[in-house]
Formats: sequence, C-alpha cells, structure tokens
Amino acid sequence: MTDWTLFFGHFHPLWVHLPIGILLLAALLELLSRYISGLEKGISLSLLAGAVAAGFSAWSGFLLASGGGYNTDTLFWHQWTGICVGLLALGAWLSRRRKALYVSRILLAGAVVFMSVAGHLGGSMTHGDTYLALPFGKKEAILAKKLPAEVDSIRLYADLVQPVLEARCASCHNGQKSNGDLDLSSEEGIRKGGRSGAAAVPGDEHKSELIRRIMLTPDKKAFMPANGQPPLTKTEIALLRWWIQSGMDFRKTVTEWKEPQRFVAATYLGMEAGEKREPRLPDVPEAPEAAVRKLTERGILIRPVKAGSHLLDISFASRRGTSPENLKEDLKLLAELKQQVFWLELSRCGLTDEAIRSLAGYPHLSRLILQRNSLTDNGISVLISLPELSFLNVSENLLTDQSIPALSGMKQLKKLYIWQTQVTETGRADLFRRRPDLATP
Amino acid sequence: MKNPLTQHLADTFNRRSFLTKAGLGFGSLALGSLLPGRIYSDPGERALVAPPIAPRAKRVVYLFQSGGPSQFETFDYKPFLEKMHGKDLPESVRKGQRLTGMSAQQSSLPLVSSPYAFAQHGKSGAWVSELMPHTAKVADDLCFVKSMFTEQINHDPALTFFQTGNQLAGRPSIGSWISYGLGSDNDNLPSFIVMVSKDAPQDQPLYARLWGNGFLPSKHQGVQFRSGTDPVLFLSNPEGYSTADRRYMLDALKDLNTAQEELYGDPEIANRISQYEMAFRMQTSVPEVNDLSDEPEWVFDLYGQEARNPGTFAANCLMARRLIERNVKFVQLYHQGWDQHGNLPTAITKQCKATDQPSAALVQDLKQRGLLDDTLVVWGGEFGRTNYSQGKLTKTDYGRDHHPRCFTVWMAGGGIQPGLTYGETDEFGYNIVRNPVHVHDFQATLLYLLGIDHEKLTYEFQGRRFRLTDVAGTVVKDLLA
Amino acid sequence: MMGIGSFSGSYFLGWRKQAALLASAGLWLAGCGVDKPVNVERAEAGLPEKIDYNLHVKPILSDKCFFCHGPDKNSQKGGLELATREGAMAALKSGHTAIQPGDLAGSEVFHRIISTDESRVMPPVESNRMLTDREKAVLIRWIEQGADYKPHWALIKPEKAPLPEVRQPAWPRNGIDYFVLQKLEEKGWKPAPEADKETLLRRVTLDLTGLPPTVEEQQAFLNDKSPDAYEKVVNRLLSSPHYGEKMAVDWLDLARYADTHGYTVDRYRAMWPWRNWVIDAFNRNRPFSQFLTWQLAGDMMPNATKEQRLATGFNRNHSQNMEGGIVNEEFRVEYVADRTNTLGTAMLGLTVECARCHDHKYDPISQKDYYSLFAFFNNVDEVGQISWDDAVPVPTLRLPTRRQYHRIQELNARVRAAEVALGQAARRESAASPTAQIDLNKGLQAHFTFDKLVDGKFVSSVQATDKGEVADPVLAPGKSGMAFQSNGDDILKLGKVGVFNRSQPFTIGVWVKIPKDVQKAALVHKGNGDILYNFRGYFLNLRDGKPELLMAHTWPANSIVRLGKQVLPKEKWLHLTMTYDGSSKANGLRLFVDGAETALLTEKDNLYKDILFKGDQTGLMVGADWRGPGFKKGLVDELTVYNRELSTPEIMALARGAGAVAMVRPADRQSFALSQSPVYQEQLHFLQQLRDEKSKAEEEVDEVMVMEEMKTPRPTYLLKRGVYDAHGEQVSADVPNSILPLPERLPHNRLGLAQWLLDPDHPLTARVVVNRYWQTYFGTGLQKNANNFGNQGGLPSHPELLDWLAVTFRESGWNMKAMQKLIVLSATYRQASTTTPAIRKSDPDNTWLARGPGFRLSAEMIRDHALASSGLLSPAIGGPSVKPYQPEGLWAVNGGVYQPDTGEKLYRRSLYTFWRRTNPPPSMNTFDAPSRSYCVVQRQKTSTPLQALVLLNDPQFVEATRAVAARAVNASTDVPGQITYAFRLLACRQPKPKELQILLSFFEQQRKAFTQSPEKMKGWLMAGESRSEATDQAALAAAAATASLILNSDAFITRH
Repeated sequence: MTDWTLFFGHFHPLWVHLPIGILLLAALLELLSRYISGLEKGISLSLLAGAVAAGFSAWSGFLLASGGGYNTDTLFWHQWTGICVGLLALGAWLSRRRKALYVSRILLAGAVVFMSVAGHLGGSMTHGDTYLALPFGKKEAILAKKLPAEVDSIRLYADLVQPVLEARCASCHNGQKSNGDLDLSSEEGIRKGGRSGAAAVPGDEHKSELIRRIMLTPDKKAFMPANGQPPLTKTEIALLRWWIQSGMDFRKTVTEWKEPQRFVAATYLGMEAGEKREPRLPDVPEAPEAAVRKLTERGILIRPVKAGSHLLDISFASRRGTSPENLKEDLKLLAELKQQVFWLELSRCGLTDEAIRSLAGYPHLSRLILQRNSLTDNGISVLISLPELSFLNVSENLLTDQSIPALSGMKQLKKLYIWQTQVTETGRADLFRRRPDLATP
Repeated sequence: MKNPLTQHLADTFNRRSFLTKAGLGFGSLALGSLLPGRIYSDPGERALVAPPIAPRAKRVVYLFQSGGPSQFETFDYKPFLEKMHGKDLPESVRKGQRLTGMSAQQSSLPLVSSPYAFAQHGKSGAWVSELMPHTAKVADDLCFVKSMFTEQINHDPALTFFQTGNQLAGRPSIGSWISYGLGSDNDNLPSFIVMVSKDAPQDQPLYARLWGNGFLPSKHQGVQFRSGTDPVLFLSNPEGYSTADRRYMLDALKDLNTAQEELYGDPEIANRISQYEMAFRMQTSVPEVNDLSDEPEWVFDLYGQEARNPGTFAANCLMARRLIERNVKFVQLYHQGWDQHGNLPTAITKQCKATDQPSAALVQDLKQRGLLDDTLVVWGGEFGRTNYSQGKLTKTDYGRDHHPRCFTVWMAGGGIQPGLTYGETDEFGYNIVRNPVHVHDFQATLLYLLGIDHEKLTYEFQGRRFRLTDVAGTVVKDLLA
Repeated sequence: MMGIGSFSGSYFLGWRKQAALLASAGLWLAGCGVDKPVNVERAEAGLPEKIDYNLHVKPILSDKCFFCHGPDKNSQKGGLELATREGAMAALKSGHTAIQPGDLAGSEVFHRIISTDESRVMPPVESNRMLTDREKAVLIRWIEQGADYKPHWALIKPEKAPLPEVRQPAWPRNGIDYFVLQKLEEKGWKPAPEADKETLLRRVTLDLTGLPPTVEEQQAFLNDKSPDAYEKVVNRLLSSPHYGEKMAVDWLDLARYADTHGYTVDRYRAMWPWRNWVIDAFNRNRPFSQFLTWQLAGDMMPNATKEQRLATGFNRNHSQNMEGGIVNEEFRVEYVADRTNTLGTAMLGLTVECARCHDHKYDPISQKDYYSLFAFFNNVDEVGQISWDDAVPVPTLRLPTRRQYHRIQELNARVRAAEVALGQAARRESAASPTAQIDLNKGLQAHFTFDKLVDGKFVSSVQATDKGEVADPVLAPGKSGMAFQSNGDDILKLGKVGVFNRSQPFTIGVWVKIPKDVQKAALVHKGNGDILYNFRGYFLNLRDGKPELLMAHTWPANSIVRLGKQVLPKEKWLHLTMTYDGSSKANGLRLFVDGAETALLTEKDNLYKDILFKGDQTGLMVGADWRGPGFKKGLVDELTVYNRELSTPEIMALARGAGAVAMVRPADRQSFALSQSPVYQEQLHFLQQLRDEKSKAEEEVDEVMVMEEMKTPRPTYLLKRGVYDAHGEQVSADVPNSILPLPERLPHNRLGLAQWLLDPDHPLTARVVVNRYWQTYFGTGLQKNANNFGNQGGLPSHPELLDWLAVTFRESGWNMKAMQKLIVLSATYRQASTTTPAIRKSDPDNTWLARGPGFRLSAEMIRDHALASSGLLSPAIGGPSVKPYQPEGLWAVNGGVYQPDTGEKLYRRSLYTFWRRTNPPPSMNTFDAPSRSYCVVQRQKTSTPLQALVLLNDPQFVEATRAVAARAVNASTDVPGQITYAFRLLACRQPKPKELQILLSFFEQQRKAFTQSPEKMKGWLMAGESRSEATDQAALAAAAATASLILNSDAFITRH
C-alpha cells in the first residue's frame, strides 16, 4: 500500500460531502419545480455532477479502506451502498435526459435513501456507533449508569472501569473498528493490547501504554482519546491508574479487593478520587433563630460546620459540671435544632440515661461524643435510632457487653470508642467478629 | 446573600472599634448584658464566620524539636551510607548548594552512616531507629513525611520561617493565624498556649516572637505556660488575697465602671469589663488544668515518671492532652537541644530518651480517648542535618551540620492518613527524589485540615493582603485520610 | 424614540413600513449602545455627581487591579498598566484598548468587569478579588465622564489653603479649628463643648510629659480663673524636661531602639548615649530639620562635632546577628535594607520595602528606585556577623570620660615626644659602622624545625616547654629535614608562643610550600575562629594567591590590612618573614619574601584598640583556622618567632643563611646598626612601654555605634529577588523621581538625602511628621495609616488641614514645640470626649473630630502614671537602661539571667526599662509595646485579659497602689477625704458622688475582712521593695485595695 493511496484515501471524508450536497440540491430543485418554472436545466446538471462526485468519493473511499483498521462488515455495507448512490444518480440523470421524469424522480429518491444509509455507516465507523447518542449524558459516565445501592456489591470492573472505557475508548477500539488493532471493549482485548505494545500491564501503570497516552497533553500526537475528543477527567484517569496498579482484576467486587476502599467510596460518593474532594453534606433548613439565641445565652458553643451549610457543630464544653436540671433544659432546647445538629460534644456533663433519651431521632447527627458521663446500657440503646451516626465515643461510661449486639447493628457506624467501660475482652472480640470493619481502638 | 440569622446577629454587634479590641479570642460578649456564654457565629470576632472547608481537625498539638533533629539517626534509614562511610561527599550530589559558615570552608566532607540499627515496625512497615522504641510501637498511627525541605540554613531565619511563613521577624505565627481565623472553642483558657521544656539543653535559644501575633491584634498572641508558681504571668492574686475577695472586688469594679460608662458613654468600657471576667475565670481554670492530682497512676507509667516533674517535655505532653480535652485550639511545645554540630551520638541519645516516650504516649492517650480523630499531632524541627560530618570524624564521635534540602517530620490524627510514609530522599540522604513538601505546603495542609483555605485567610496590613503561606503553598492532598 | 416619532409625523407612511422602521431603529440603538447590568444601574443612583479620580476611583483600581496591572513592570499581565493614563489608553497586543474616555463600548475594561463568563471576567476569579456593584458603577461613570487621571494626592507639593469660612466664627481658636468646623458644618454636626478643667488638665499633662498632674497642679489650675490659664499650663509643660522623654518614646519605636543586638544570640549593646542625645534634642527644641539631618548624616557635616556623629547612631539601631556560621554578606545586606525600609516608613510614609524584590505593586517605586535609596546606606565599613566577644560592632565613636580624655591626651603627647627622640637616636646611631656579627638567636622566642615528633608533639628548640600539637600530625620532606604537612582542617597549635599586643614589635619567619590549587588559606595566625571574633589578633594569610597581613581588634573598620601586590609562586619553597614595629600603623607591618621586602597595598589602616582577647589568650596557630579556609596539603618548615623587629640584614640571613648577607645598601647597614646600638634599643624599649600604657588607657574607653562613610564607596547592585548575592545592574545613590528628583545642587550622599527630605518642594516629609504628631494627640492621624501614604493607604479625612499643618510646620523653621502647642491649644483638641450616642454610632472612630480624643493609655504612660501618683517615681533623666521587677526565669528560654536592679532604679520611667528584643518586658509587651525589631510608627490599642492580670497582680502596680494608699491616709483624717485624695491622685479629678459611695462601701468591707483575717493583707503590704508604715495596717491594706480598684477602672486606664 503505497503512501499515495493512503494520501488520496484521506480525501474520502472531503469528497463524500459533494454528492450529499449536490444530490440533495437536485432533490430540492425537483420539489420546487412545481412552483417555479424554468429549473429543468439545473436539475439535470446537478444530477450529473452528483453522480460524478459520488464516483470520486467511492474511489477515494476504496483507497482509504485499503488502509485497514475498519470493522469488516460495516465497511462492506458502507462501500456498496455508496456505489449504488453513484449508479442511481447516473440513472436519474439519464432518465431525465430521456424526459422519463417520473422514473428519474424515483431513482433520485432511491439515491437519497442509499446516501443516508451509507452516510450513517461511514459516520459510525469513524466516530463509533453511539456517535449520535453521545452528546447526551456522556458527562459522568460512571454515575450516569445506576450504581447498585450497597457499596459492597459494586463490581470493580463491570460497574466502574468498564463504563469509562465504553464511553471514552470503545468508539474507535471495539470489536469492529480497532484502531492500532486495539480492542478495549473486552477483557481479552485489553489483556492482548495493540500494535504499539501492551495497553495495560497488571500492577505496573508505568509500562501501560493506555495510561501513558491518556495522561499526555491534548497537543501531543500520541494523545488519546484521538481526533479532538475531550481528555478523560481526573477521576477517570485516577480510577484507571489505580485499577491497573492494584492488579487489574475483572471479577472481584469492591469490598473483596484488598486495596483500601476509600478510593472507590470516594468515586461512588462523588468525591474527586484524585483530590479527595469534600464529601457531600446533607442540606438542611436553617436553624430556628430563637432556639439558637437561647442556647448561646446559656453558654453553649454553636457554630456552622462549614460556610454555606446550616449543619451545626455544637459543644457543651463550657457547661461541664452544670446541674442536671439545667442540662435537661438545655437538651430540651437542643431538640428544637434536631434537624441541624451534625456534630455534638456532651462529654463530662453528668449525662444520665434519662437525659439522653431526648437525643433519639436526630436525623443528621454524625459525630457524638459522650465521654465520661454516667450512661448505662439502656442509655446507649437510645442511640441505635440515629440513622447517620458515623462516630461515637462512649468511653468512660458504665457500658457492658450487653450493648455490643445493638452497637454492632448500627451499619453506618465507622468509629466506636468504648475505652474504660465495663466491656470485657470477650465483648470486644464479639464486636470484632460481628463488625471487622468497625474501628474500635 | 449571607444567611439571615448571621446577618441579623452581625448587625446588632458590628461596632467596628469595639470588636477589633474585643476579648481573648472567643466570641465577644453582647453589649450591655454580661453573658457568661458565647454568641453564635459573631463574624466580628473571627475572620471566618465558618470554616470554608468541612474541618477534619479541630485542635493541633505541635511538638517542635528546635535545633534540627538529625533524620539519619531517627527515621530516614540510609543503608547505602554504610558502604560510603568516611568517603567524601561527591560534588555531583551537592550540586554547589551553599553550606553554613561552619562547614563551608572544610577541606573534606566525610560521609557518616548512622551507628544505630533500624527496623521496620507495624503493619505499615515504617523504618524507625532503635533510639525511638516507643515511637516505633505507634508507627501505624503515624504518617512520616521524609521529603520536607526549606531554604534557610541558620536557626533564627529557619525557625521564624517555619513558625510564621517568612524568614524575617514581623509576621504572625501559625497559632495566631488560627486563633484569628477560627476564634476559640472555650471561654476560660487562651486558644493558643505555648510550653517550653526546661529539661532540654539551651543551646539554640527561642524567643517570644516565634509565637507572637505579628501585625494581628495582640489578643491572638500565644500565651506561654511556665512551670513556676504562675503558669500565666501575674495569674495569682497578692499573697493571701483569696478568689472570693477578688470576686468581690470585680463586682465592685463592674459597678464603678458602669457608673463611669454613664459619665463617658464609651462602649470600650463594656469590653474591658468582659476582659476582667475572663481573667477571673482563668485564675480558676489554669490552676485546675495545672493540677495533675486527678491523673491515675498508669498515666505516669505511659508518659514516663518524668511527667510528674512540671516543665519537663513529658509533663508538657501530659499537660497538652489535658488542654486538648478542654478544647484549647493550638498547643505548641518546644524542646531545644537538637543542634548537634559535635558529639552527636551521646547528645542525640539523650534527646531521644527525653522525647520518644512522651510523644508516643500522647498519640496513644489521645487515640484511646477518641480525641486523636480530630486532633492533629505534629513532631519535627526547622531543618535536617548533613550526611557528612562537621569537624573531626573519629570512630566513636562526629557532628552533623545544618541541612535544609531534606528532613523528616511525622504527623498523626486530625484527618492525616495513618501508617503512610510519604516522599523519598536519594540514597545519600542529601536530595529529595519523590514528592517534595515545602514548608509552605506543610502550612497550607495544616490549615486545610482545620477547614481553612490558606489562600483565603488574609489580613490587610500596609496595603497588602498578608497570608501565612505568603504567596506560595499547595495542600498536599495525598497526606489526607 | 422621540426623534423617530416626529419624523414620521411629517411624511405619512404605511403603518407597516413605520413599524419596520421603528423596530430596526430600536435594534440599531440596542446593537451599538451598551446595556449595563440592572444591579449596576441601581448602584449608580447612589453615586456622587462628579467622580474624582483620587477620591473614588484610585482606591478601587489600586486594591483590585494594580496587583496585575500596576506599576510593577515585569508582572503586568497582557501588557496593560492601569496606573497611568497613557497605559490605560494604549492599544494593547490583544487589539483592544482598556479605556476609551467617554466610550463604554470601546473600553475593554467595561466589558470585562460586567462579564459573567468566568474565563473573561476581571478581576479574575482565582485572584480572590471581586468588584462590588457600587465599585463597578463608579468605574463606569468615571469612564463615561472622560476617565481623567490625577497624580497621587501625597505626591503633590502641600499648599497652604486659605482658612475656610465657617458659620460659627466664635468657636475656632486657631487655624486648625476652621478646617475641622467646616467639615462638621458640612455634616450638620456641632462640635462638643470644651472638656471640664480637670479632664483637660490630665489629658494635656499626659500628652506633653507622659506624667499625670499632681493634686497641687490640679488645684492650682482649678483656682486660676484667668482666661489664659490653660496656655500657661501648656507653656509650663513644654518647658518641663519630661516633655523630651515623652516625645522620645515614639521616636524610639520608630528608630527600633533596643539594649540588645537581636536575632538568636541577642547580647547586650550600649546605645543609651544615643537615647540621651534624642531626649536632650527634644528638650532643647532643636528644629526638626537639624534633628533629622544630624541623625541621617551627622558624620558628613563640615568638621562634624562629636554630638553630630553620635546622632547618626539612629541608623545603627537595627538588629545585628552574632550567630556562628551565618553568611556574612547576607546579613550585612539585611542591615542596609533595614535602614532603607526605616527611611521609607518614618520619613516618606511609603512601604518602600515592598520594592526590594520586584517593582512596587501599587506605588510608583521601582526596584531600581529601592536600590538607589539602598546605595545611600551601603558605604558603612561594617560586618554581617558581629564579634562573639561583645566587642561593639564597628564603625564606632569613642566616648571617653573627661578623666580618660585628659589622660589619653597626655600619653599621646609623651608617645609623640618619644617617637621624635627615637628618630633622633636613629639618625645618630645609624652613622656608626656595625662591628658585631649577625646573631639570629637574639630575641628568639621559639624555633620549630618540625623534623621529628616527641611523643606525638613538635618541640621548640628554644624552650622545650613550648610544644606544637595537632590531631594526626603528618610529616613530609621539608626545606631542611622534615616539614609539617597540614590537612587544612586540623589546627597545629603552638601553645603560648607568639602572644603579642599591638605595641610589642615582633617577627615571624617561616618556610612554606604552597600547593598549586590553594588560593585562600590561613598560613600562620594568632586568632580564633575566622570571622567569629572578627579576626581579633594578627594573621599571615593567602588571599587570591597573594600574601595578606591582617591585624585587627574588630575587622573591618578597626584593623590594619595589607595585601601583597604579586601572587606567590606555587609548589616552591619560599621564606616569608612578617615584621611589626609596635606602632599600630599600617607601614609598621612589613613582609619579606626570601629575605627581600615585598610591596604591599594598604587596604585598611585604622587600628585603635588592642589585638588581644579579654579572657585566656590563644597562641600561634599554623595550617588551619576553626571554621576558616585551611592550608590543605601545604608544607610548613623552620618556623621562627622573635620578640623584636629584625633588621633587614638579619632577615636576609634568616632567609638565605648567615653567609649570604651582603650589607651593600646603606639602608641595610643602618637598619643593622640600629638593631645593635644599645642607646637606640633602650629608647625603643621606652617608647614601647609608653605605647603599652596608652593602649591600656584606650581599652577602657566606651564606644557607641555610629555611621561612617568608607573611603572608597562600596559598589551597589540591584539585587534580583532581593537575594544578597544575585547582583543585577550597578546603581548609584539616587532618590525616586516619582516623589521629587534630586536637585542638582545636592550631593548624592546621605547629607544630600537629608537636605532633599527637607526641601520645600518635597511632598511627603512634612505631611508624614505632622500626621504622626496628630496621631499622638487624637489616637489616629488625619491620614489613618501613618505608615502608608501610597495608593493603598487610603485618603486623609481632612486633606486641606494636613497640608496646612505641614506648610505651617515647615515655615515655622520646623519648630517642634510650636507645632505641639498649636495642636493642644486648638478648640478641636480641647473638646470633651463625650458626645451624643447618635454621633458616636455614625462616627465610632472620631474621624470627623466632633468630640475630643479618648483612648487607652500607652504601655509607658500606664506604668509612669502609677509610679507618679504613688510618689515612687524617680524623675532622673537619661543614663543607662534599668531593670525593674520581672517574674523570675523569664529569660531562661534563651539562655539569659534577668537580675532586677534595686533601689531607685526600680522606679525610673518606663522609657529607660532595659529592652531585650527576643524577650521584651512582659508587662509593656502586654500593653502593645512593639518588640523593636523593625520601624513601628503606629501602636495597637487592644484590650485583653492578660492586661487585666497585669494591673491586678503585677507587684509593680500592687506596690504603687499601697504607696498611693499611704499618701492618701496621711493627706486626710476622715476616710471619704482619704479616698477622694486617692481618686484625685489616680483619676486626677474629684470622684462623682456615685463613685465615692461605691468606693466607700468597698473600703469598709475590705477593712472588715482584713481585720478579721490579717493573713489576707500580706500580699498587699509586702509587694515590691519599698515599705509603708501605718498605724492601722488593716486600714492601709483596705485603702490599697481601694486604690487598686480605682487603678483598674476606666477613669485611670483611659485618657478622656
């Protein structure tokens, strides 16, 4: 295959547009000829020109196809429909010259139909068959696809890595059309690699050509994804690098994988994997002003957790050693801010089981510190109802092994501190057996 | 639009002059009514109404090892140096880096390997030398940053650079910036407390401006706790004059000042009354935190018996935990004596003995009480030491000169990824090969953990928006848990 | 639209055509006109009619745009400079122009500031700067009104505007009041009534002397009903010596005065003589022009007096670094930069230090301007690393006491006479023809052959006790026998050999072989640690391959340095002989190579103190110097040390062997003859003893740091990024032209600089100084930021008044006392500090002066007031600094011991308190006194709990309240009378009934409590060193507690 053929072949995308334009013009003129007279000469001329142009584009298409790398059957259909367009156009022109107007119109219509089919096939070969569907919802390929609710049932490859490859690479590297004869749409293709070496080497991102190419800057020749497509987002790059570096497994679910899950959880939660972006905080209505003022006047420190969020970080630090009645009154007032309480510190406040009952049902309470109070098991049991409690410190309280089943049942709990409580070693072992993931230093 | 509640509260207390002079770094008191408590999100009192980023840490304990601890004998294991022991430092490694006047003129720069054994510890397999057995035990909670670097080779500018982000005097220290940015979380103790070990050799001096407020209002200045009778200057009343007497006097003072307020109508008076109330509360809260009698016996086994002797590094570490429990925001400890230009082996052993157990005990104690999660502990000095010997290298003795190009700092808790060793130095231990962390990057990361964007916490002075990280610093996200 | 309507009226068109015309016209108008965002339009309503560049536009441009488009050339983005009219109107590379006067559409600035597209909006998002709607409206209207630029107000020469008309001509007492009243009438406010007599007296007495009025002075002023009673008080205060002390407090902040060097080592320095001069200058009311010129360039005045040279200590007050191992040049550059920054802040009111690393971002000061100012101060023969043994950093001024002065004069005369006598003896004796043979053993102190080691040490062949020790000694074949080979690091110490002072002649002879790659090395020397002791002692070095002779007390200014003209040959045995005649003169130090004298270039010839160390002396050292350049692989042989100056023939013999001596030249013959003549030697010995005596007398004379120009000025370079060794283009001493070009008649040196500052056309100096005076009386200056008159510094509240004061001050011959008097006599100053809540709410900072000044006392005033009221104050003026009470162990943190003084020194004014930079006095520091590390012209006025603790429990204040109580108890018999007296002592006014009632009930309760439990009194009675007798101890303690109550109340702490 000499360079010349490839050179002329590259004009195929240019030539293709000529017959499309001219034949459509011909069709248009055909339609208008009913209203405006005197267009006959123009129609026949454009039919001829369309046919000639179709011929040239077929010829250059043939040269381009010889360069290879196209999916064979799509190419076959594309090729022949293209040639038919040329013939039909020629036929239409000839029949018009013999004044068989009706026959010429039918042939022209046929040419237009064939042309659209050929055009579609050509487009899908160069830009992938989802080319038309692409612009909608390509943005976050991962999250667009409905991910299973439970973290531990997410399959690493199928649910996270594959959608990225699908969205970004498969259009030119799939079963039919494998540029650089690299197929990234399947496990074998990925493992096989392509013409310029191993696409992905398990455990070594530096040797993986795929990683090298997606991390280049768009102006470089070897940059992927090719022909002007936007570069992969940071999350996608980080995901692929991490997946390859951690052994490139295709089967396991996320939790079975030995790598710490924080990366995947970050992706799943929408955090930028690379930059560890902030976890999304639940948004809540604003706290009632009167309650806030009364509480602060009683000496309780209330602060927004983060600028722009109504969630509150509340500390009873300055109320240490206050009387039980005062504390009860405080907690009653606090209940008015139930929606907004996100972090709550109640250590050393002489909290009793009876007083803590008012904490039940706080919807967004995430961190609760109850160090050195006089709480017992039934006091602790109130906390089971807290749906989003992730950090609980009940050290230096009168907790016993009885509470272990209840505590380990709290699925969303990540850190539990039961230092200097009555929980025995067996209690701790039982807790570890039930919840190995729960950190209890 | 600011959320209405903050706006409403801000309007009622926004007398600018009154607020800029307001009390010791905690929510200012409402005008006219003497509230013991604190007011919700009063913007005048702190630069940031709320942290722009959800904070991972709420308090910091900075164990500053002044003098530049040698990384070769503690955390940065360099087996290659054993082969090169005694040979001259090759110019290709030094690349013309300027040396301090103390070794610049030396004719030979003989390389020295660490005489102390190293081993890997914990699941994370971090390398720690035999001089730091206790730190080795808690290695899985620590994050070692082996690739810190700075520009300064002398103590004064290097110390000032680490504490204030600028090599020359005049800028606020980290603790002051945080007190200015986030205010205080308690109302009877200063928000920025400093303690200097008395059991350390006084070779390289320290000075008050290292924990000074620079151009920020002086209420953000670090308050030094001394080991003598008065932890805070002039805390105790004249001999014999009891707290009750003082309370009676302050009530009389309140009446007198209120009478004078009617005379002059100056809002400043109400603010000064609140200062006297805070001073009175400190007169009870500081001795209470200073009195270790309520600590059980095992605590002194954990921190070491030295913890009973007030003013030692061990006692200051125990005191740091007690202050953290009472929500003090920034506790800064200094331990001098790491400046080993000569007889390094004997001196560094003493230094490690004094600091190893208490530092590890502090991490362990905070962790078991559930405080390590949102308390950041930092251990480190102002620069490292050279891999070549300064002065005569003999079989048993050598010294190391200052080295700004690479040194080791460890951090724990407060949102830092535990069990991580970050950054790498070359086999000579002279240059950094992976993930360098500049002093400004370290400061930016520290602020980020507290929920502060280091580019947004500014103070207008001499027509310029000053920052702790000056014009540099990027957050090292890889260190975050 | 109206136009179109009338047009269609005259020609009737089809309604359809007319509608089309209307639509197209509307389209056309909208097309090319610009639509302003609605919120900006709403903001425009509130704007003043005429937009003024300096008042409204500059602050916005400076704060939000100049960072990237300001005067800083190399950081101008897009080549756009908005600081000047030309820059703003210039066509940019991007094809746009930033501002087209009057044409919004054509102004790219307009499009950029209202754009909502994050990639185009200006200022850009990542700059963290944002334009508010009002600011956008101001810029837009400014462009519409022609975008006129005006020069910066502070860079225009101040003009004396005529006094404005006012509606209440009765109120103003002098020029100041007209300007203030005009602004008040504009706002529709009335000035506050005059303060009551007692408040006014306390205010003016504190402001002019820093001390409170005594009860007698209060009573006298109350009784004096004459109209000029107040003026008489002002005159009295201005003539009091305490006035000078009060004015000096602010000047010490500005001059960053301290009693220690600063940085890490921070040891003692004696600069208090300079402080004495400042206090005296204020009391003598020297004109500010003289006060400034002497401090900037006193040493360059025509035949400068000692006082004028002492004044230049102002520029040597900066911190100096003694830490071993620092890079000397780096910190010398730091000191020069500090002087430049101080000049900027104190005299020009501009933040010039910003231009140290790049062009100034906001003000028209380029980096070249900065280093041109830098060049004025860069010619001091000083050192970056000062001497470790507390020698006063050079250059210095000697301050002999009267007795010392006369004694030295007398000794000088006798030495000169002895020198003349020696000269005559030389002429007489040299004629005699020498008979004796050359004897090289005469005066030989030590001779090291280095041939062998005696149990690891070299032994002198003259006296076996003199041994040479070095770690791992190495021998190599020498000139004769073996020689010592140095490794460049280990020092060969020759015990106590070669210990000579600067009046003892001596000779050192040595054979050396210099390796080819050694250019810089310490061959033979008597000293310790290279620059650590600033080369105290004498050195025979190799520098750039040439021999260097150095003898110093403190290098570089107090030393002799001579450098050989030719490079010494390498890899060849040479004999070097260094001789010294004990004259402390450069030509007394000579060098002979292979017996022949070699030509030396004298670089320094100013040795005026001895070359020995204070404590134990180091002896001669060979081959290496601690932390200095070593003689690596160099060979040393046959070292000889003589305690006399060998004659030239003897040197020849020493170098070439006895036989080779030919006394062919008459000079050689004479030199040898003299060395033999007993008469000459005896005369020489007598002279040496006299010189010794004079040297010892000169050693005790105190010194103080002053400025002194080097003979050959040091070249100054622009330092890239401010780094000490990154030399850019060379610059010469010059002033920023943007302020005022240096008039031709003025020299380009510090004297010229001082005269430039005082030039009538100078726009800044007078304004900056009077603004600072205004700030001491009213809490804040007319220009709020006293240290920043630049673009970012904001605008003065009363620009015309500031200019009027500046011109008045200059025209009065810079008369300082007259200016203070003018301000305190003004009606504005005499207003009461109380006002209506409405005015206080709308003007909390008293910017418009609708009321008298009221703010917290300064740190010094609080302590001095307490001491004065209690009668403990010692009014002594001047003298060295004193050490009052301070909690023990405070200096332990940086290795110091604080030894408080006793007796009268405990009660001196706070101005004299010993100031340690790394550990400022805690009580003063708590009341916002600066650390004095750099120039401060504005102190904070904060209120913190630590201040409360100081006033409640600091022994100094507890003792003062007891002393006040003692005075009060003696002043009256009944308790109310005593309390009233105490109140008048502390608050300087009669207590109001309500106050008296509170104090009385408190006193009674305390007395009852003290009587019941006497141990409560201990603290009150035993505080401090002084004691007060009293019959009824409980009453005294109760009175002390009551006095403490008054002291902690607002009446004392705040000056109303």
